[in-house]
Amino acid sequence: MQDQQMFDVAIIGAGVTGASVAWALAKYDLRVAVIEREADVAMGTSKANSGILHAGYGAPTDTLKTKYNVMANPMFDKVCADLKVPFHRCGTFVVAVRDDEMDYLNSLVAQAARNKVPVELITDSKRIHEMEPELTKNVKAVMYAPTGGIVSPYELNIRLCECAAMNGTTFLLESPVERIDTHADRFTIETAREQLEARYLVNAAGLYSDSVEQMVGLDTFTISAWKGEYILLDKGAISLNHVLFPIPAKQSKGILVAPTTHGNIIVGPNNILCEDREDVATTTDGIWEIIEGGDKLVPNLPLRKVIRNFAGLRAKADCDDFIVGPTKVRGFFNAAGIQSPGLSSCLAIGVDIARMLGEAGLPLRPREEYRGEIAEAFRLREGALDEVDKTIKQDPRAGQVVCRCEMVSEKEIVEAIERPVGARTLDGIKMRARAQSGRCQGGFCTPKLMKILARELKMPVEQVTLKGEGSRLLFGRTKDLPSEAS
Amino acid sequence: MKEVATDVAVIGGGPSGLAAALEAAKNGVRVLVLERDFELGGILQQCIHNGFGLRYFKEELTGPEYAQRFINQLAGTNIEVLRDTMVVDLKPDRSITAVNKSDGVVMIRSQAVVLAMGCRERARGAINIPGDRCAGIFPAGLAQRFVNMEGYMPAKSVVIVGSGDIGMIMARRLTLEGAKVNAVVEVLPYAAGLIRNRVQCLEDYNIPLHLCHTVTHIHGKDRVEGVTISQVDDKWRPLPGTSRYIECDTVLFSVGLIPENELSQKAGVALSSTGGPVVNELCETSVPGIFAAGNVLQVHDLVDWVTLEAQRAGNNAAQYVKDSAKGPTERERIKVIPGDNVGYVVPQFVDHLTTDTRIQFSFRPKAPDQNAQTQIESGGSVLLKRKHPHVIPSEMINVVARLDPAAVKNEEITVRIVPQPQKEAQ
Repeated sequence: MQDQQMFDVAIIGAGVTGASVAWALAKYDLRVAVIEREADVAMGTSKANSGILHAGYGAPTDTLKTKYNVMANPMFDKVCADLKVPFHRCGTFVVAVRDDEMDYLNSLVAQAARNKVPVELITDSKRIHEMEPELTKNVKAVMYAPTGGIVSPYELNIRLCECAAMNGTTFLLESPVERIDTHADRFTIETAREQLEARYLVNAAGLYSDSVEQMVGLDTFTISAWKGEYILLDKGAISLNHVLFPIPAKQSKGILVAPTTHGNIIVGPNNILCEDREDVATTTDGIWEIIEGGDKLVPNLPLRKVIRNFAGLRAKADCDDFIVGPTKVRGFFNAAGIQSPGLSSCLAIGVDIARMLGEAGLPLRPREEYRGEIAEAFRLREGALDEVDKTIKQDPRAGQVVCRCEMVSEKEIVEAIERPVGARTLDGIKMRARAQSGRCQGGFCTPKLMKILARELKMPVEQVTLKGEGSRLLFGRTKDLPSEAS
Repeated sequence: MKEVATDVAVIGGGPSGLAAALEAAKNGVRVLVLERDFELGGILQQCIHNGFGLRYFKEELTGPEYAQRFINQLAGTNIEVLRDTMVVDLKPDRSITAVNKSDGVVMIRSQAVVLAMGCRERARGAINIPGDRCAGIFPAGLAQRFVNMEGYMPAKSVVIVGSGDIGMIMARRLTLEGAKVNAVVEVLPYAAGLIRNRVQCLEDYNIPLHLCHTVTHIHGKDRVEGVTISQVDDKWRPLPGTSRYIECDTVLFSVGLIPENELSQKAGVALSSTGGPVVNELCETSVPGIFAAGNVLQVHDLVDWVTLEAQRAGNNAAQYVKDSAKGPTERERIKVIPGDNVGYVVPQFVDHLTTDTRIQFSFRPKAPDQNAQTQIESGGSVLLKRKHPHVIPSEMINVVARLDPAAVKNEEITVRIVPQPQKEAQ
């Protein structure tokens, strides 16, 4: 038992940063564990963000933000193709709508040049509107970054974890870390569920990475939580070709309007400091701030097409940059303060942490029979008709539509559950198979999904949760309540 | 792939699809019903309360009973039904692509199509109610399904947002199952659903209805813990100093229904501002040979009217098939315009007007009124009047009219709801 719980590397946090580290380490012949407090991976910042691959012009040249963003950006094509992650290098616009914004736009062009990021300043409004017909007529100029794009953030996170799991990585979910004991050559990590040992420890705990660092006696940074609220519009609400950023506000990149990889439109985020690191509630003021912000770029957003509002928290370190690398505690590495452009940088952070672990003495021997590709899964909504027909003949569940809005079959739901690090909750199904993410938001398919989850996981329907412990949907059978009350 | 040919394909086997199919079949044409669920009857199957059929059957039936009356009639017909079958595509030439477990992909060639897909509930996001996204937030119809069909309780202590009919019916249903309904919160100054539901589902059970109120925040990390509600002004903005917290574990939304026309749009069917297809007096959409009826066309408050509307659509679809040899007919395009205090009118066009044409106008008032009358007008003269002791947006008004083609001026008809003249009103 003791031996089974001894790992070469333990990664705390299964957000997209921890997932990238696990993915990068999966190439090597190592025993790796990922420890996550939630019931699924990708449950924090990584599932509630803009889903943008930044080109890399946004931060000053000498920052880690720029280093990793510029390093990671070209990696996305291959990784997303290998792991079947929805990704589209559609290009991004920074849009100036007033003359007094031109100075900023020009300074951004200069910064892009320093960061060696290709951009083009376009002032011909006819050309701009040919490229982006829905953009406001007030546009003065745009900075076009062709290497920017959009990526499905939670699917990237999940697929990185799947790839790691396919190569032997252990995922410990619903396991908040409660205590870490530091020894000369290893750490003992106590979670709410188990105890394990690891020679190296990577802190990718996001909003709680400062608390995790304190568990090994360090106190090198403080995290503050900055809320970003979003609204999501239905497919077909409007058609956009690029990610549209405004001239940024002081604290963030401003309220953007962008297509998502699944054909929706996302508008947001604002940037509000939160005392509570769990506070992902949306607010009336915030939603209006987003609508007004988005309206400056794309006038008359079809608000009747809004299907959801949500919020995420950015984990911002007090140094305002990423914190990546070894610490004074032997074997303890930080991958912390990964706010924007964190999603755009994660792959490079993962690879660089792996390199640094190697330099610190971790033997990086290539894994025999490394599996770096995930097979294309059946998607009813995307398949050619003869292929769909053939698949249904082999597996009738492919012909049973469970989610009508996103056209998801039972086969896809079952696969989302059966995959490595598979779905255990309704939110898990939603992220992996898209059921409940359409315009009815689960109004029709929720009971069907609960039955499938219960059947596949061999548990009573009442025990199915939205997102883990404490989030059951049902209180029991009908006719039970009055007796319960007495 | 399986290939099927039919005369009239009916998409949806709820009350609308069933009535359309039965009526079409009476014309001796081949009819195929495509139903996505495992059984026919649609949402009626989860509406186990009574009150259905008072107009059509002159009896008080439950939803499943009302549906069964039509399902039983299928036995005497040659109507074909494909259950568990999802239509994935519809083309302007009325060809349909569907999938199911046993046949795989089914390609259907059909001479006419009746759209009868019904509607969906407006979700929380569509009305931008802020707060947490935890378990315990349901559309009212989903809660209804859990309780009435699946046999599970999704709630113990409830706040209902919106006073639509399903919400009020669920207030009563959950109360009967032992849950406590703390409040129904309605942004309008009157209940959004039928008066009888306000009386029988809320007042009879002492469930508080807070008019001119909205939920400004849903609280709860994992499961709902409570809501903050506020009074609103006439623009639905929360009034400062009026907010209060209500503890609950469940929030239901009953804030309106939206016709489900994503499929219709694939065929190029033009939609009106209410989300349903633009139709003429035959229930025919902008695409020739594609008809629409029931909640996919306009959200109804009584299923009886769905049946009547769908029977016309089904009959007209069959006529379309029989007349197809004659070639396309000219459309007159007389525009039907919603006038004073009328939110919308179906049909939006009258295309074939003769002295014998019976036109069914369905419409809703924008605001409640008393001692009102409907006036159908053209060119400044009143063609038809109908008195109403009271009108309310939740109750659809149906007026059947025969209009004199000679009296229609400028190819326009206007439907208005105006006060009754004083002496007539008394």
